[in-house]
Amino acid sequence: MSTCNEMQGRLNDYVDRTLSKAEAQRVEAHLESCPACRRAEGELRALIDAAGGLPKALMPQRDLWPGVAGRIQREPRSGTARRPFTQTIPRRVLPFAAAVAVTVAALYASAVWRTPAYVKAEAHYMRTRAQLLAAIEARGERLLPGTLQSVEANLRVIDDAVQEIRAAIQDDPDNPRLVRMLMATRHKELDLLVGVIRTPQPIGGAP
Amino acid sequence: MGRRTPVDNQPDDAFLVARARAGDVAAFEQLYRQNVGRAYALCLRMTADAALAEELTQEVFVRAWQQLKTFRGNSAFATWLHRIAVNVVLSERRTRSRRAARITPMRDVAALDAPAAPLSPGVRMDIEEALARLPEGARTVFVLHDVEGYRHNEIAAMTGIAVGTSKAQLHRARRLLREALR
Repeated sequence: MSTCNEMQGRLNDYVDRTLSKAEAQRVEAHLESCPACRRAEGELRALIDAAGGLPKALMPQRDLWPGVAGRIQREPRSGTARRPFTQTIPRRVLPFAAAVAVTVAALYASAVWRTPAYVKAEAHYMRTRAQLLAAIEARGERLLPGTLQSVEANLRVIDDAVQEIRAAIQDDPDNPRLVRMLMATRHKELDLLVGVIRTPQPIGGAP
Repeated sequence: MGRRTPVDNQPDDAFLVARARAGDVAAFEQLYRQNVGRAYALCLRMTADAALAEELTQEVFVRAWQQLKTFRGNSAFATWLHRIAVNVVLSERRTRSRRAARITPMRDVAALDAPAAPLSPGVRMDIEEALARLPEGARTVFVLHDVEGYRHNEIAAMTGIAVGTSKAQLHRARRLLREALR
């Protein structure tokens, strides 16, 4: 017969199912005759269940992104310089479709103005933005250099504005005007990208 | 990875990762927003210090950005990021320990591993609160094993302790938590 002292260490292995069959049977035999160890086993299982059930995500008290963004802009990846966005688009080409415009319209028609939903709205925005960038990539070499520079400059201005509005939302998360302002700024960015796509191609096209 | 996958993969991850790898900060921000809660929860539970956890969470994402080219997509982005988070916390701890070793006489090693505050018998407390009061070594193993689902051999490889030590720390953590939560 095992003693309760011996059981203390083995109970952990028993509930973790790491004992051999024979050892597990010895533990079970002891548990049948020992209320104290049965209680200990119950506590152990309850604790493990509670730990496994803890929320996997906890949100920090403040938005940490501005700090991350600041650092990744200051500390570029080793061996890579920061490039204009038009050079960072992958070589693969996705066709631009009318569905993109529909997505843009649907996103903003959905009027997801409340604070908890704006992050979700931005996820939709990201997908649409990526499609637009891919579409620009499809005809990137046919755009005039001046157009590209102008687009890049405007995108930088918009990025700065987004960061400032985000900071304001952090200070006043329940302010619907700020969220509307964020969405409107994002909308301007999409308008800008759509405008690039609609720009008539130069005569003669790409070399 | 252990018994539970830390986070289910998001359908857009591969696309966002590709964009971020190409230098798209906005795409990386989206990955940040999808994963920051997981990273912060791990940092907070392992450090029991909200300010330090925030600092380390930022470090996790900066490091992820810098190492994105090494992400091959063999696992979910969240799983890859989670491993970076564990490494960042453990790395900070090693740095802190080395710093402490230079200024603290090591006469009583056990004292360095003592809880920040004694667990009060008879006082029922929340598991998060009790977890925060555990000694650092026991808390680390408990969080990695019982909360995050890593196995002892994985914990041993990540932390540099023996498998037996990992088990001993886990049993100690569970005993202290049971006492605190009674």
